Amino acid sequence: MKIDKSLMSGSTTLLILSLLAGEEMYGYQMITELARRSNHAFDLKEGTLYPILHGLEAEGLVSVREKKSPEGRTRKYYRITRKGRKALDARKEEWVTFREQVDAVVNSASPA
Amino acid sequence: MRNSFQIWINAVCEQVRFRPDHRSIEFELRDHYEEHMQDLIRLGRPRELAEERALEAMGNAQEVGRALDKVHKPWLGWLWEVSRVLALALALLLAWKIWQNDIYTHSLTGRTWDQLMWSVPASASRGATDYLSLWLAPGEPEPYCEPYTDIPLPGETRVQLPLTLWVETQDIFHDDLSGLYEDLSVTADGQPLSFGNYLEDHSQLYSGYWNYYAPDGWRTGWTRYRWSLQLVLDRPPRRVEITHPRCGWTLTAEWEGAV
Repeated sequence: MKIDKSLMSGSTTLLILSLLAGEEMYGYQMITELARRSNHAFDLKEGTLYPILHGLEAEGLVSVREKKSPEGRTRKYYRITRKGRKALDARKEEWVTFREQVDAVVNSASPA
Repeated sequence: MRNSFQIWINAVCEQVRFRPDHRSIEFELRDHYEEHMQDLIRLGRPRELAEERALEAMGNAQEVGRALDKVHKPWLGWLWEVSRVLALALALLLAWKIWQNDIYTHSLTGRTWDQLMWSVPASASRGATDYLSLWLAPGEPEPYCEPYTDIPLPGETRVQLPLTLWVETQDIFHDDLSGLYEDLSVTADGQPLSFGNYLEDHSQLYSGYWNYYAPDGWRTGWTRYRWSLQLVLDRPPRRVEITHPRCGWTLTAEWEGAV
């Protein structure tokens, strides 16, 4: 099932930082990996990804380096920084609270 | 379709005002597009369709460009570029200074000021010429601060000896100390050196010249002078003696641990 874009837009940074918490990745890899891990529910667009990635870099939450891939292509790889890990923890906490509150409201709705 | 991608990426970059970042943006997005296209071909899509789908997935060029422009702010970019240039200039300046300092104190002399030991006999530390009183300040051989920039010729070793002299000039017309260095005799490992206070003779082996300046200003009466004795030798010396025959004192500079 595809998820409504508007539901996803608020959590894109959380998703990207979560992906990078495990290993360094390049842009295309992030999109395919996100689709794989979410069973194709999250379809992150290229046009959304790169401005966010470059913004995270400007904020110092990720760092970039050019590296040769196993296939011999030179790519820009993104890696989460220490500041990025702190931001990720804060976002996770925020997400958990948000999810709990949404669940509480949704589950409390009694049939008329 | 490759041309279609070029049109797309040009439209993206047009929106990004900070031009120095265009190349890196294009490099990254092109790589993304090509990998996506190759994946689609691997999945069995015809090449043309794969190119079309990959390009579609890149999104609207104007929107992507505007979003990137918000991140790649021109003023921030230029600030970064300028700071990089300044940092590079600073690093070069520092490297030059270190290199110069290295030549100045280490490479050419084979000796350092740290190894330099002065012995100043207490009884002979005062003296007088016809118009000068001399006093070597106790425990105060100071590095002469002016950089030593001469490059040695092949076979030469340059040595710079720093010292501090207190001099009481009794005649205002002689406060340039020109008479003092003419009276001094200098030997390096027992071999006499010819001297001047100018540079003309300094490239001859076993010659030297004096440099001096007064950090407290030029005046009559007791004045502190920083002296620097530049020697042109064929090897690093172990012992240098500076003698004022008429005053009867000898100043000895020896290098600890010199071979």
